[in-house]
Amino acid sequence: MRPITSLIKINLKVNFGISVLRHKLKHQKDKRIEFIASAIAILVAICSLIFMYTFILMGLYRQSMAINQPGLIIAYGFVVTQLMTFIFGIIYIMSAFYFSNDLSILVPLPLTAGDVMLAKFITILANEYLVVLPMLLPPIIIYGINEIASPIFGIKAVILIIFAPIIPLAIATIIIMILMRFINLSRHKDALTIIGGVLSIFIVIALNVVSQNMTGTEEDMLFKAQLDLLEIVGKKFPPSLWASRGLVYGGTEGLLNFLVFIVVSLLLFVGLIALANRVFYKGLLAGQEASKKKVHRPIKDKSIKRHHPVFSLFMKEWKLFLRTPIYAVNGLIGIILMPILILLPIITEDSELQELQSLIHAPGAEMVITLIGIALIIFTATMTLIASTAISREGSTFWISKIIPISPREQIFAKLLHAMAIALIGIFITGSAYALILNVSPARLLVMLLIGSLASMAINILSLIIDVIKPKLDWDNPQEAVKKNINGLYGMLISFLIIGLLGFVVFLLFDRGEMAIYSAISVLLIILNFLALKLLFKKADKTYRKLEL
Amino acid sequence: MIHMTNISKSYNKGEIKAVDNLSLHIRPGEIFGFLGPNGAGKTTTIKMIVGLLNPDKGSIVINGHDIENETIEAKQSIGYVPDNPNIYDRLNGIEYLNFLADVYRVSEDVRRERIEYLLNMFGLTDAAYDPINTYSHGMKQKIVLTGALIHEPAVWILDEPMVGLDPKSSHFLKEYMREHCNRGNTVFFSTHVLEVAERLCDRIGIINKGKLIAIGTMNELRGGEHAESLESIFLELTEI
Repeated sequence: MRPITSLIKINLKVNFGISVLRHKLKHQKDKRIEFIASAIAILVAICSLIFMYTFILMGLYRQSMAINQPGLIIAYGFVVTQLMTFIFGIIYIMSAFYFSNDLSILVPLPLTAGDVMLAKFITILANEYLVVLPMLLPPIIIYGINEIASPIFGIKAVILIIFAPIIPLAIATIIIMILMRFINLSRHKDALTIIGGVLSIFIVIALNVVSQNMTGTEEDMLFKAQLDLLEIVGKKFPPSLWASRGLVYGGTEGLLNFLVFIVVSLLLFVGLIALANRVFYKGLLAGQEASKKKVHRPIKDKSIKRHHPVFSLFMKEWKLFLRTPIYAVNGLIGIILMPILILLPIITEDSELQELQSLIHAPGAEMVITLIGIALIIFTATMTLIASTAISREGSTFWISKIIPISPREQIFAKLLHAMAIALIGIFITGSAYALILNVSPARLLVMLLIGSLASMAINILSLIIDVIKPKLDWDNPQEAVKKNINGLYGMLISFLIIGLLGFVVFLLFDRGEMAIYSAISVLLIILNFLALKLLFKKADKTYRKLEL
Repeated sequence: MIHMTNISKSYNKGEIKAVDNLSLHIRPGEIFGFLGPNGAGKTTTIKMIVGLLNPDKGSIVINGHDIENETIEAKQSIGYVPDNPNIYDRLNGIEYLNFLADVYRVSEDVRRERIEYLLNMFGLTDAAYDPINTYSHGMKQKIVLTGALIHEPAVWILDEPMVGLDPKSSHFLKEYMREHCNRGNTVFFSTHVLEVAERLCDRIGIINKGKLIAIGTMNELRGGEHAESLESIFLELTEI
């Protein structure tokens, strides 16, 4: 096998965890059911997303038929796909090309920088197909069925799907490689993660402002927004249009567009390898030349202090959480974002707000508003994933938790304190923002905060139970502990279940008056907390002993 | 100090016996060297002693406390240094040591004295306030060693402690192991460096394929013949 083929093969295997999976399925028979179960869970999640996407596409198709432009749906598919490929690509490429652990093995090998880049590029490309296929297949199929496409359409579609991610990914790679050559970004890796997190907050806020300013019927607006997107991206990024024209148009024009798309993809690909040979390693090595002057610093007396072990564990959780950007961004984004979204109508001086505020004093409305506030608070406080990844986040340092002379229940208690501290901050800020904007009375705010705290405690305890039972300790990059951790998903499910359960209680007691509802919910949550905490401690004692490292 | 009685550990539902019916008794004041080829069961044994792995059968008693039933007391008596120093990268050196001193319940005066002394001996004082993720492998090894000594454990368990240490730190470590044992404590360590084991250890145990195949002082292992080195004894015993 040629070295480059072997490298690509290894990279793909590592990327999809094939060898590890094979070993697990072969030697650990109990892992099989777990594997099948999580595969089904992921499949269901993806299918429901595709279903929603197809639904939007069908609407788009109907409307584009009305203006006699059925091909719009294909153009839309390519634009969205290539935009997503580009955005994901930037993140993937940054981490695979510059922050990856295997680089110290790869760089000394007798391979060119172009070879190493090619292998990594193809691996990322393979990942991108997981996005490209569900994004591109639905529009192509909808169009193909409705327009009764020819076999040539099918052949062209397959080729275009294969080529679709190449141009945006190549452009992302070129941008990153050139940036890394001149700016030493790797020294600011942590800052980058935070900037990314803050940026995503702004994007969400911007989307909200835009959608609030929209008038007219919703479907019309959606259609217009999609047309705008097409126009903007089409102008700045013509390859999407080449691809869709190449597929939709017949005759010479179609063929020409098709060929332009393929040739440009290939040219960029070749150019990329040439560029990689010149700049990839230079940028990579520049990042590792960090040097620092050593100064003599004696140990300061005040930095050595004694604390209670549980407090010390709690502080350790805090420090690691705040200092690992991916944890901090993930954990704090919800509690920062939600209050801003709630307060946005005030900032943008929404006229509907006044109408809403005048409705509040209608009979019965106050209770509904309080209940919605409670649901909102619970939702905010549990978006953090802190509890559902609390043990997973320890990763390869979990051995310390196993050897220290502190009982598992005390260790878990410190983790619960940490999750609750952040939840309480979120509850307080969100609750206050909500009360402020809707003129909720202080007494009701107190009820909201109390019930919200009780509910988020129950959710945190249940999420901890999930992570205690099956923590994901095997990871290299802290990102995997939160993003690639199915326990986070289960944690979210639990919070929906709890909100559903409380909703059901409200439904049952709706006619009995407010006091009955609040007291019933509180009692229910207190009992749930008590039972869940007992179960958590029991499970913690068992798992900490059972887990082997 | 360490009583292991008939401990066994197997993987893959009994297919691979990593440790097979091992019994060992390490006395107070003793430096015990644990030798064996790669994959012989050294790390598995060590991990069972400190509670990272659960033996399939057998019992382990540390400083009079059964690791199974009096877990917390047993753990309080142990200072453990793993072969791979994975620790909280985002803390700085002092924060890490303070954390360990808290969980091992070391008083403020004692921890101050030990932290200053040990960091100074390992040449780590200047890096004490740097985040651990800026440390080299050797520096991480030293901060883990310091952390494992902060509570003056009755039993010190080290997996390949010399790997990655510079000669000065390695020398200090050996001296410190001897002092530690002279105070009535016990050191149990695994190593591949036979010269170190030969010079430093009061007794040596050799494990191969999960079974203890030899144990005793250097003299006992030589069987009275003076010329033989530990290297030739080791090669002879572990030959297949």
